[in-house]
Amino acid sequence: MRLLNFTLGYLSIGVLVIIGVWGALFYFSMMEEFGDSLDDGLEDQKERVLSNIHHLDFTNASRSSFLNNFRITEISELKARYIKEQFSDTLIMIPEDDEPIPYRMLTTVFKDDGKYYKLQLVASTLEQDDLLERLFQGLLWLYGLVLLSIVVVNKWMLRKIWRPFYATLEKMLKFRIDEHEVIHTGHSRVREFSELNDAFEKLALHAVTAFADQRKFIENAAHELQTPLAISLNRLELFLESYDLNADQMAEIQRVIENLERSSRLNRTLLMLARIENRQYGADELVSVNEICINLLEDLDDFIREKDLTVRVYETGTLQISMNRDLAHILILNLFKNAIKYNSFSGELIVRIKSDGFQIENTGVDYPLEGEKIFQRFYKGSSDSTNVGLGLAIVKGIVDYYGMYIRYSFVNNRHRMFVKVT
Amino acid sequence: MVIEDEPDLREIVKRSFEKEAFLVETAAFFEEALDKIVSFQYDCILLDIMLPGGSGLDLLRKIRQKQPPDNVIIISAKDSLEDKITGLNLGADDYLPKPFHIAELTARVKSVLRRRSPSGTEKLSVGNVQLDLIERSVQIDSVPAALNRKEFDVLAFLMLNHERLVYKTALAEHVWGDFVEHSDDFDFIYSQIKNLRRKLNALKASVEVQAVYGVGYRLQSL
Repeated sequence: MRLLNFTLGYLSIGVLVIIGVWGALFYFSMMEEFGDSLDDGLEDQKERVLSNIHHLDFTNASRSSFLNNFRITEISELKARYIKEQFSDTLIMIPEDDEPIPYRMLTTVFKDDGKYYKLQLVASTLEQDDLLERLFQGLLWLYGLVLLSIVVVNKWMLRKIWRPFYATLEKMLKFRIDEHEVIHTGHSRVREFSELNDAFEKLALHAVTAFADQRKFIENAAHELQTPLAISLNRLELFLESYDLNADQMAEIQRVIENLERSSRLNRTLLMLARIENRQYGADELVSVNEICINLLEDLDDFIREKDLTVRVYETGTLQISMNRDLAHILILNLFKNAIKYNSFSGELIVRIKSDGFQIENTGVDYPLEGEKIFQRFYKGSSDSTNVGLGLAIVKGIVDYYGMYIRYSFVNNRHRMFVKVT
Repeated sequence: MVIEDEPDLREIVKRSFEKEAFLVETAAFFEEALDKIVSFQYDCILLDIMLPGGSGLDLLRKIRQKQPPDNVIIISAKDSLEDKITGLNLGADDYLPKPFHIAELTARVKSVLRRRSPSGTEKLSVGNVQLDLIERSVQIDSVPAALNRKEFDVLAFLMLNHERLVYKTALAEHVWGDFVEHSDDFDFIYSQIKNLRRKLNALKASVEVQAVYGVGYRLQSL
């Protein structure tokens, strides 16, 4: 849930509770006030009636209706003793109205001229009720308005306030540890955000530096490793020459050499991959894939003819990529080498070049290779134990470095490598 | 003269060239190398430009100041294009990155020597086989032999390493270059060798390409 809505949720409940409680308290306090003032009024009215009692003519008829808001009824002495002065709420039906109207009534007893009388005074509470209802509505409106303004303020102001946060968040999402860009986050007056920014900058710097150091280390280690490997191989070369060895002894040495060469190849590949990632290869230029393909196919002619392969090239566009020329060369060379090496005798090699990518297809084994895995370093196809799977690793390294895209597929019984420039 | 700080490599190169009946001297440090360069004349100097005590390039400049300057082949652990260009611009005769095969080093040294020789021809000759490197033609007993490009390169390399074991990877890398790197099967060499043998045999060459059990080849005089 988004923070904005989160806070809104809590705020609305909080406001609801506060306004609710306050509303209730206010309502009851108002009711009490109204009640008190009404009752006071009735009391006053009682005093006035009682003090003017002798000016009133009430002896002849029991006044049964509430003229002038009071009514006097003659009662027996017995009844008089039971009646205490009290307030009550009642409904009175007045013929002119459709429905009974609520009244507040004060009932009291007085004695005049030896006779006992019940005095009932009333005051209408209808207006108070209306008022209270109005009040309640008003409170609801208040609640609604407060909520609305909270929403508006939230959406508009807070979005503005959170902008630096979102900017930093976006930078974090885009962050790539292997890119050498320095991260600069914006400035914010909000302390939490500027602290966040500082922390992220430091973290990014540290990560990038550590990663670059690690890469450099790999490159240096690979470089250092070359020397003892080369020396071992050279020594063995001389050894084979310098001593009279029988076939078995030679075979043993040969096996040692093979393994050393394997280490050496591995090392050279690692070195190349490290150099690519460490940007040790020179500047980019606009290279023509069409040109490189044609040239390489010429150079590889011996190998092609040795396997009696049929080569077809379809150029439906000119593909130019901005990259280091040597790396372009290596990329395409490795793809061709694989397409030739793993091809069947008298097989086919088909090259398709479009303006946004190129494709190299070859015949070969009649089952598909594992598309994802073949690009992993050190992946070995099942049968070939000496193949260290590095040619494609280099291809992938170069493709990844330039943000290109490569995919393997098995189509029409052919193995296809598709490289796309994004 | 081998100027190289790595003792193993110094020893290996020395032994290898002594097989070729060269007189080999070595130097491990800048000062030592400078002394010897200044005092003596060498047919060929193998110079490692990453030397302790000073820059190999400075030594190169010193060598070029001599009259006449010795032939220099730069060997370097840094396989960088800039270094190569700098070295060659400063007057080195060749640039060989480490690691290298013995057979390759031998071939390079012999090529440099041949180029600077008084006769200055680009002809190689072993037994009754003559190679013209400019024309890229082969004559066996003055009879021209039809060799394709790769067969020619193979023969030239073997001749430069006459009677030496040429490790098959060395041969593959010399003749086929990048295409061999990272690769591990050399079947394609076999067919070229086979054809070469056939042609040499047909013209009764006095040399033979011997296979040294799965390890490499040797051009042997018959």
